[in-house]
Amino acid sequence: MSASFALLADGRFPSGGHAHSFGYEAASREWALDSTEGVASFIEGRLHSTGRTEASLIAAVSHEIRTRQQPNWSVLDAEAEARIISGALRAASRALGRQWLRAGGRVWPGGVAADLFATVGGPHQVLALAAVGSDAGLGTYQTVLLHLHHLVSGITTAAVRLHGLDPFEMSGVTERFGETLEALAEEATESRAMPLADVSAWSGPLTEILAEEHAAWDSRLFQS
Amino acid sequence: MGAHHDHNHSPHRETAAPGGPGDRPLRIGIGGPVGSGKTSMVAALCRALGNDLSLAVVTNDIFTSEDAEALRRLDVLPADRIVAVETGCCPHTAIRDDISANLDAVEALEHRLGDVEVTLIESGGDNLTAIFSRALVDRQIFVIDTAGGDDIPRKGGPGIATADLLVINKVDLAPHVGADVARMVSDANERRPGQPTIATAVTSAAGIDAVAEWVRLSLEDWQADGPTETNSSSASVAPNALVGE
Repeated sequence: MSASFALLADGRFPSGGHAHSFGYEAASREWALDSTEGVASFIEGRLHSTGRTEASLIAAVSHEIRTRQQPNWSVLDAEAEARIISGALRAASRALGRQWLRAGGRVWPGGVAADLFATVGGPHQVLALAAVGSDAGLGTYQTVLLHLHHLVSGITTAAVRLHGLDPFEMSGVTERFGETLEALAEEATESRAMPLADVSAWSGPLTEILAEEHAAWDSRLFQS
Repeated sequence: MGAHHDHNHSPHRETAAPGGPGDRPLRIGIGGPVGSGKTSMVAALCRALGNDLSLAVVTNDIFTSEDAEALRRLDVLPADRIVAVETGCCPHTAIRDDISANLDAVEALEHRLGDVEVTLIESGGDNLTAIFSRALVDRQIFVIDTAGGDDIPRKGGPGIATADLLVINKVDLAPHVGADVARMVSDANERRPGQPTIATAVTSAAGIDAVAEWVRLSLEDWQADGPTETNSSSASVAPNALVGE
């Protein structure tokens, strides 16, 4: 564990995540997930579908950054793009990617994130996370864990803001998923050397469809 | 700018603190409580300045793009000059603590339009502590109104105390809600010595000329002196002026 990890895991780190519910706003309306169990069930599904894919991608990109002189960003970005079906989610992923790079590039000037921001601009979030994690000196496992933590805490925070759910209870939910996050991060780290093209695209078709609908809502509180 | 589309720029160009005059447009933040008249103020400024200056508007709505849509319906600017940013229930976070989504939107809009001189960034309605980050805007206007209670200037808070311009709107409603405009202005003067306050009734355009003039002078200062002279524009308008009644 490092102070850099704590800095990046802190919800106050200005990387734009506060405006995203990571699919929860749409799902909670569709399936009435405005309870502790509802939130937990959404997190469970999100982690084991797209969350698992994102974990694998971050691990693979982190590995590329560590082992290559100059990662082929456009190929990595295309591999990430291919695993996001919804156009709205692709846009959200790129917005978050740009914002992570903007923040990371300022905190660690001259690093991988600053370079990626200057050359690619708005890559998918998994590339940006890997770049910022590398600049912060995090290992692959920690970088994946960082992403999964933000995913879960982003959802629980959105639940608090949308439905006034008990913030202590929501922190308890975040804590209960700790072992799952660690297991997913371990799994992704173990397979980090796998060619990116071979990384599975675990997904949640319904959440992809809901994301498209959400983007067209006339009144929504979160960007995604 | 939008330098991240240009592979030849140095990595730090885009990620550095806001550039100086000539580098990019003047960015003015407009904040204040819910219902004080921020969107109407933006619309009025677009009407007053739109013929002389190239403007762009970024709104931060509580609900999706409500304010952006309202501005487009009012037809105060071409629709492609107005964009909306969602703030995930936290308007103050998006203008102060985590400005990344707003910076993205502002830079992309300015880059796309190419000719912008002034970008107006309207905050979602918030409380008296909400101020804009200096990394997002160069000047800020705080809009309150008589109907919200004439004790608001006395209560103060960062929004009122630190804004480059305080606007007290809906002075036409003051008699109907028992608000004492003169007292609001004098309380404001006490809270913000040497900084201008302008009284307006935006829906009838009263006082808008003075606010528009403040924007023009701010732009002149920005282009002449750069971002370090943050308050020099204030001295150009009569300090603490009560205008437009």
